[in-house]
Amino acid sequence: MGALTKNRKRRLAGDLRLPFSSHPVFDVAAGPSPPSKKAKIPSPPADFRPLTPPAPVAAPPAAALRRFPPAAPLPRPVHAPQRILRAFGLGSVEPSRSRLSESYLKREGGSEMENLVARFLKGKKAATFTPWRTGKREDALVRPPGSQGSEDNDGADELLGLDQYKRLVKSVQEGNSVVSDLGSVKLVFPSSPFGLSDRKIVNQKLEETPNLHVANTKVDDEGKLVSEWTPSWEEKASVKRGPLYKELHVESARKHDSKLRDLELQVELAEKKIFSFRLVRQEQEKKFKEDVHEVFLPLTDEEEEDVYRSLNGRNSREILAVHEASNIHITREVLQCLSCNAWLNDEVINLYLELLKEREKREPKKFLKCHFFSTFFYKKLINGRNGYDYKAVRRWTTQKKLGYSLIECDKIFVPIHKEVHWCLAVIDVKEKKFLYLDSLGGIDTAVLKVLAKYLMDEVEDKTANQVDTLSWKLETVDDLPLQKNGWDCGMFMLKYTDFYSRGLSLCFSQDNMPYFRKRTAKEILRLRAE
Amino acid sequence: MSGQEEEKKPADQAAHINLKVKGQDGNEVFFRIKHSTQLRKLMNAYCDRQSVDINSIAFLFDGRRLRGEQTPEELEMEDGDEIDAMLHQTGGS
Repeated sequence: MGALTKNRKRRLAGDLRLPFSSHPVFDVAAGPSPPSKKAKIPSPPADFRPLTPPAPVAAPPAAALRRFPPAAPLPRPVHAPQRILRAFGLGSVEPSRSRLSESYLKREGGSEMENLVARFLKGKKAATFTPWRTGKREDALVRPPGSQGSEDNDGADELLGLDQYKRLVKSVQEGNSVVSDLGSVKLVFPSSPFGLSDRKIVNQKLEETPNLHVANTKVDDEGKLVSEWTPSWEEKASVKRGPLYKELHVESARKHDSKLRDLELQVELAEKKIFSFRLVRQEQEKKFKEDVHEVFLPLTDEEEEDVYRSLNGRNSREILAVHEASNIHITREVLQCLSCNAWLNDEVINLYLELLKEREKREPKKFLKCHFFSTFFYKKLINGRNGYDYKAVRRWTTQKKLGYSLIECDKIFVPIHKEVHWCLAVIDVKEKKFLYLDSLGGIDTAVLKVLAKYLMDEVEDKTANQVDTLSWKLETVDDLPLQKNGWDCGMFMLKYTDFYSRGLSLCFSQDNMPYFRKRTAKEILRLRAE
Repeated sequence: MSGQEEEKKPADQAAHINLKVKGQDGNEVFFRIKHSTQLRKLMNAYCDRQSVDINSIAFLFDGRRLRGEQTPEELEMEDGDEIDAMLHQTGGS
């Protein structure tokens, strides 16, 4: 490259057409150029042609040259390859360019190349050997001497024919974007007409050329170095890099795929679950709403009137309802316990419990499987000579009588009569626990213990199985609706039973009692619980 | 019809049945009636003997309420079976 600049110097004399016909003598004669002169390079183009980029580009090499003392100019070996260098230049430079501009641009391009090469060396280790070589030529211009191990550039170039070089350059330009960038940068320059001023710059630059020569050799060394180690590296790249990368990619893709598929499946499953849960919940809510609606369904005018007449008729002995299955006859006197403020009697309670059982048989899907003991059961159970007497009630629950066994039931309701008070004990067979519901808020675990013993005896007697009901939990109910007067305990007890047999929570209160009384009266008169 | 049968007083001992009425207090009263005799007779006799109003007592057989019109035959009662006489219950507070 240094030769090129020398050529320019010669061209000053007028030979613009032979920029590369440099002479070795010049190299030697020119000697090391004073680095200070380099600094001048930027100014002339700035003066004459402010648009031309040489000034800024040329600066870095100048500085570099200043830093490093010029190496001794190399003799012969430097010159020989210079033609080939030219060939190199021809290969990389656009053919349409004029000789002058070409040579000029090579200089400028060289300074540009420095940046590029620096980039190559620093960041782009992956860059191939060839583009590096392409840059190397011009890099020689600016590369500080001694900065890199060097070899004779020309010697290396000599090995390549022009055609080979063109092919090489072409392949590089195609294969490496950086080099094509370089080309594009160069293309900018030829478009600008070069005047004499440019030549002036060239002249000034020429003075540096001896150094550049030295640089050339060094770069070539580097080029050899590169050529020494790149092949193996390239081999690796060509053999391993592609497939490995692909393999890894495919592998990871596969992994991702399977994972994704799993995840998609899981997501799908989860969505389906959520959907089903929502459906179930909707159904439950719907059922709950229906139930609640049903539970508080107001009486029709006709029913209201019927109830009113039944409760307020004159003949107290008049039989208003006869339940054949339970042999319970409801007279007006008995039914009147359902008027406000009256205490409930066993007839009404027992008949209502019978109706609840009939309701369950009528719609077994809607209601829990329950057994409703009569109000006399518990009394009979504990009224033996020694208190608890299973035998007294053993025959109350035969398969023949009930059609089912107690242990099959979800819930067993046991009304507890305490002299003047009605309570309810519930055996929750499914949940394995005993509940005591006292509308006054009391608890009688003795009752529950008796029932636990009873159920154990019952199961043993009827099925010959053993059930450790004594270990079942004995509980009360949180937030139990409580009576706020001295007469509604029976109604509370019946509604505990009603709601639980529906599977509902006890969502009622004292305020609902007048309605429940009327409703119960209606249901008894109709002999049908809804 | 039952009245007529009662009048006849058949000698056949197999036609009779021994029943026990057990009160809530544990007292037991034994009755011997015919298979076909209505239980009303037994109920009245029991209430008379216990000096209680028949309307205040609920008679149960194996937990089921008894009506006066029912007979031991109808209920498939056997000799020595027990009838429970329970006081009606009421409660409010």
